[in-house]
Amino acid sequence: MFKHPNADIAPLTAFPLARPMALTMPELDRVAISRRAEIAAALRVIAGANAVIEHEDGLRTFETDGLTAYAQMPMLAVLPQTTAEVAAILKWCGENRVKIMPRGAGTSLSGGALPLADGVLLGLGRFNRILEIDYANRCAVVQPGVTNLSITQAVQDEGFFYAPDPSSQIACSIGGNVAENSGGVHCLKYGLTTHNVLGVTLVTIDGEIVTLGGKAYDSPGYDLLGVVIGSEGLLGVVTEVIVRLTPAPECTRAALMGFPTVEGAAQCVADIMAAGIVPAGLEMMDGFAIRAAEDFVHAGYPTEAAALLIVELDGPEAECEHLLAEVQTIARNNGADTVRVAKDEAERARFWAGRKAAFPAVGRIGDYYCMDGTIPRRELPGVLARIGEMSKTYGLGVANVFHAGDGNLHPLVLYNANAPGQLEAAEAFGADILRLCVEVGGVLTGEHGVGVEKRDLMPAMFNAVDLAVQEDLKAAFDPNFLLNPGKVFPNLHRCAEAGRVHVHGGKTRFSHLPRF
Amino acid sequence: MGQRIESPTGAFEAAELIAGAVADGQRIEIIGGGSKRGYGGPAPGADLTLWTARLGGILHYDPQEMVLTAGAGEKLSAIDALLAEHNQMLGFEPPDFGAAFGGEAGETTLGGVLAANLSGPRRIASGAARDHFLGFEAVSGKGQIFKAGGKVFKNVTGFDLPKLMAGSWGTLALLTEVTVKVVPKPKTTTTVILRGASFQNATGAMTRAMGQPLAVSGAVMLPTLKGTQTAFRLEGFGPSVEVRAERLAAQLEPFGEVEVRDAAFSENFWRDIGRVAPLASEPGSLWRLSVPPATGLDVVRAVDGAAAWIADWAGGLVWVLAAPDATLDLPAIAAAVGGSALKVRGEVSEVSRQPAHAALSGLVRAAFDPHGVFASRAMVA
Ligand SMILES: Cc1cc2nc3c(=O)[nH]c(=O)nc-3n(C[C@H](O)[C@H](O)[C@H](O)COP(=O)(O)OP(=O)(O)OC[C@H]3O[C@@H](n4cnc5c(N)ncnc54)[C@H](O)[C@@H]3O)c2cc1C
Repeated sequence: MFKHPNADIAPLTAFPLARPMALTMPELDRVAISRRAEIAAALRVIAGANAVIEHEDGLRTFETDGLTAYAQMPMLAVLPQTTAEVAAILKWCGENRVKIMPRGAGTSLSGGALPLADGVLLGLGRFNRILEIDYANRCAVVQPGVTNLSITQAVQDEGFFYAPDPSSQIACSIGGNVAENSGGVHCLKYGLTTHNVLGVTLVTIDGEIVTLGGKAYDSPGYDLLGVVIGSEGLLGVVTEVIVRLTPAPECTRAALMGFPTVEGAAQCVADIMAAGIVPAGLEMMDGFAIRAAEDFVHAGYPTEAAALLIVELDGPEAECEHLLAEVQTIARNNGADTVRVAKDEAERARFWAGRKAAFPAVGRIGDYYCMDGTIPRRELPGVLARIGEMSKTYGLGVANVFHAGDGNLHPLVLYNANAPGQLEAAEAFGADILRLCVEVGGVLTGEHGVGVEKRDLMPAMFNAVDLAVQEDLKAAFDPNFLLNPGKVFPNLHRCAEAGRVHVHGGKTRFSHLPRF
Repeated sequence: MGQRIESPTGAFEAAELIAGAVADGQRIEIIGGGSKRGYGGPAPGADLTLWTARLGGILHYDPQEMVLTAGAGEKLSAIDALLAEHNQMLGFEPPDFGAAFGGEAGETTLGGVLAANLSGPRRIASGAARDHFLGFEAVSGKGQIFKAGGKVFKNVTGFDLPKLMAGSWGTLALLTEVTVKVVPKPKTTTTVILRGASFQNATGAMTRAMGQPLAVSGAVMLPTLKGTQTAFRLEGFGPSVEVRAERLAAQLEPFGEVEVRDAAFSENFWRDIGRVAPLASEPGSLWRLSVPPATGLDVVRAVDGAAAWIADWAGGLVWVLAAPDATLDLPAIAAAVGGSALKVRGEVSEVSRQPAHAALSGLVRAAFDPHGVFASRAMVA
């Protein structure tokens, strides 16, 4: 058993910040920090000596998540292995008023898993087993640390898949997906995490183990499962998840369509949906993003186009053929000058390659900051025009990629981190985009979560009463606000607004993951 | 009943009424169309009925956007009619329970079906009411107007309170305005029927069909004099429905007589299944058993002969009509397979829940309604 040399000397301050944080977190609990050794000892009793990390080197692994602009080492980390251990840890922390932050794979793009200097990080990485696959009931029981993709891998030979597919799926955990209600390219047809999770085991801050939902389609009482999904680790710790399995489609086809105007592409999206077609995926890129992607991966995109659509259809072969024909007609009626249907799997993969490479492609041009708002689809041309104007005002470029079918925008604001003032300008630009999303009837975040990033923008969407109701719900689960504090709710003592996903020199923490 | 009835015309008026009831120590029962008043038993001890009839109106509907916002008291019949003009519908197929529960047909409101989280046979393919409920404005038990969720499909801003409101039966807040997702109406519908199969073969066929990419949007088993009648609904674009129906029929043939029925038949048939029509008109207590779908077989075996039943949702929802003198312990039967049972018509007893769940539910309820101004309902709290 290793021991930190200073473990017995109560430090008066937490570990120094790796980078100065522009973010105000809840007031530092100096008592907790002074009790660090005692807390570690208690956790060792509960979870075993090798489950507790006290040393700076070990803790550094957890200092940031996908929102790399912010970093903070936790006071301690604990990596339990059983639900009973999690329950005992939460009970102890609850009784001793110690803050605790659950963490999955740490890929959150909103700083949801950002540690606190005076809190215990509860890592769920050891909960990495698939416990049961129940094909008859079309579900699987898995531990929260299991990666999203490994569920599909475990069931694909039997003709099934787990539908929500965030582009981080090779790394992100199903527990993190539940906490963020993650989406993916295929959620237009197959739904978000919330539509594909049947039940969870939740441990509350007082150490109670509660089963929410189950293998049946519904269960009696309030739908607590529904609020726990998407609650960003604020209501409890999920230690088991029952996911729905979906039969894999027989055939998947894709088409690529280039338009001379954004309006044409937007109307094409509207007309596809109005025709009653629900594509498996419907993605859009603007001119800037098309050219950046094409330069990077040579996907064969029409570089002169103002907007590009990728439509993916799946189902029986007869259905795909039928709908592909309809989609092509709709595209041409809306002025598409390029319409290509993938002949084979290789070409389909090529269509997607450009879209998947859009983020890193933009990253080759400079630093960028990724936004995530949703708007009503009809507002797309207007919102793009306004973003274009803002781009001129701020003097910063912007590339736009969207999950067009559900109006989820990912504008990438370009800046130069080494030019004084540009980072702040990019952040202000980003906040303006999100406010614009709300102004036209949309929302601050479609899939990345509020976290610390959009916390202080919450009042743009919710008034004081709306937020108070949410905080009341939080208090029902966690009356002392010990679970993942400083996230989601605007901080009263805020000094700076929101931090974001900053990508510096094309390098991100998860540069090996595809980005949508 | 015989209590005071109020029908507020807007959220402010509703908020005043609720705040007034809190001040006077009164209890409120919320009623939409009253179509499900008999469902799950009446709300005990209410002094004031808040009727949402005047909180109506379709406030926003853009067919291309596939999102609709309406006053909570708007009638489903009006919404269905408007959506149908644009070849759209509510994806969760809300049943009209009026006739089954001592009310009148056609009175069901959108707020009512959401507050009850009631979904029809299509639930197995498109999800429940909760899955289509995007956002709302409501008045809490503190008499405060608040909103949550949004008016777009994809939104993770703040807690997903629409999920909590769905199925809360008016015990947390009064919904005043609701936003739902709508879906395209399928171009064609076909129903493939298997007759004469044993319970085991019929439920096995449902399980197999659901495990294939056939997009089955209704799967129900009914008892008949000659074994069972099991129906599968297939919907979508013509060429797709055709091949799926062929494939399914070929798989079903070894187990009995197979028949393929058209859209007109399908419409009536599935509407009746949603309303539990085959059982609703008979007297007796009506139970709803929600179980893991593949265990529907065990439930059916346990109740057949002693009660009438329908196994919808591919076996996951078994309706049981028990004669007054029946000695079936339905909660135990459901619990044995990991499900639950709720008596929805007849004298309703409180539904049993895990103590930790009940405790948490109590705290959640107090967060929205600290004074207990909304009358309790047996099925939630
Ligand atoms: C390259 C890249 C691409 C991405 N693409 C997408 C995308 O396409 N769609 C999308 O929606 N997101 C995407 N994301 C965001 C991110 O991957 C998701 O939000 C993911 O669900 C986070 O999972 P995680 O395991 O990494 O969770 P973490 O980052 O570890 O944690 C996220 C939140 O969940 C909480 N949490 C984690 N586990 C638990 C648990 N067991 N119990 C309670 N709370 C818990 C944490 O406290 C935190 O608040 C992307 C991220 C990256 C880096």
